[in-house]
Amino acid sequence: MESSNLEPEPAEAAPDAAEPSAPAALILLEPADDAGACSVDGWCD
Amino acid sequence: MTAGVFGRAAEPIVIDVWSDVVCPFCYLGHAVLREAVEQFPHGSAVQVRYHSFQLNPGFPPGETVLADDYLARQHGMPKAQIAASHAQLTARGAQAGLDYRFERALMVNTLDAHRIIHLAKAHGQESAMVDRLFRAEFTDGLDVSDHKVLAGLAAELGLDRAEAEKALATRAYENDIRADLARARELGITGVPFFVFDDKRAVSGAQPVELFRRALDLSWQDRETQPA
Repeated sequence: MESSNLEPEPAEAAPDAAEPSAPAALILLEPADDAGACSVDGWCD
Repeated sequence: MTAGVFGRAAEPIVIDVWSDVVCPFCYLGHAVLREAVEQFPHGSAVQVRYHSFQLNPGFPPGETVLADDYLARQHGMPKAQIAASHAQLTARGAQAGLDYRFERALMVNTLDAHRIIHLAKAHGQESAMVDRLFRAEFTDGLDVSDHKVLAGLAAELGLDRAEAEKALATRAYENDIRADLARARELGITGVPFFVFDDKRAVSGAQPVELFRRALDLSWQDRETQPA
């Protein structure tokens, strides 16, 4: 199987924040307690 | 969409979704969003667009490891804790009609899976391919980085197997993935699933169907109150 990763650009480095967030331009609807997501470090919670 | 509607009400509600194939909450979010759209009275006026996101872009291509083992190794998570977490998600998934078989799920590099989604998108089969890939990962336990598997899934959906094999053998659609990742960075997305409604409202995570319905209702209200 031939495959490769995308070459990461400098700005593509994973952000420090582990929690999903929305920029100021977006209105983040209030999340529920029992929702789940996976973050860029591969952690799902 | 209702005939004879003018202005913004005539425009579809566009939902941009960032997700990864190996993200269990993305599968759940995908199903719950679909349920919300089906409940929504104006569901035919909703357009869902999927975008690539890689949780583990550095995962070695060609390598496969059981997701349970990966979690234990990468995060030092006790197997009992993993099992408890999966049991909870399995129950939530069952309520949404999903059949999680975490004991089969593999951690792989998802770049090629995203490339096959973009190929499917070019043929109007984007949502079906996203759905099929999630099922392949979390129910069937297939290796969704394997080119034969991916070409087979494309063929299942009626796409041309030879075209899929050719695309996978090249670097096709990598620019589309780069664009998706760039937009995710612009939006500050650090976790998935992540849903953006009309470039205005966001839902983060596999939220209850009520929250997706609220986002849809608010988006529709915007159309009724704002001029074109």
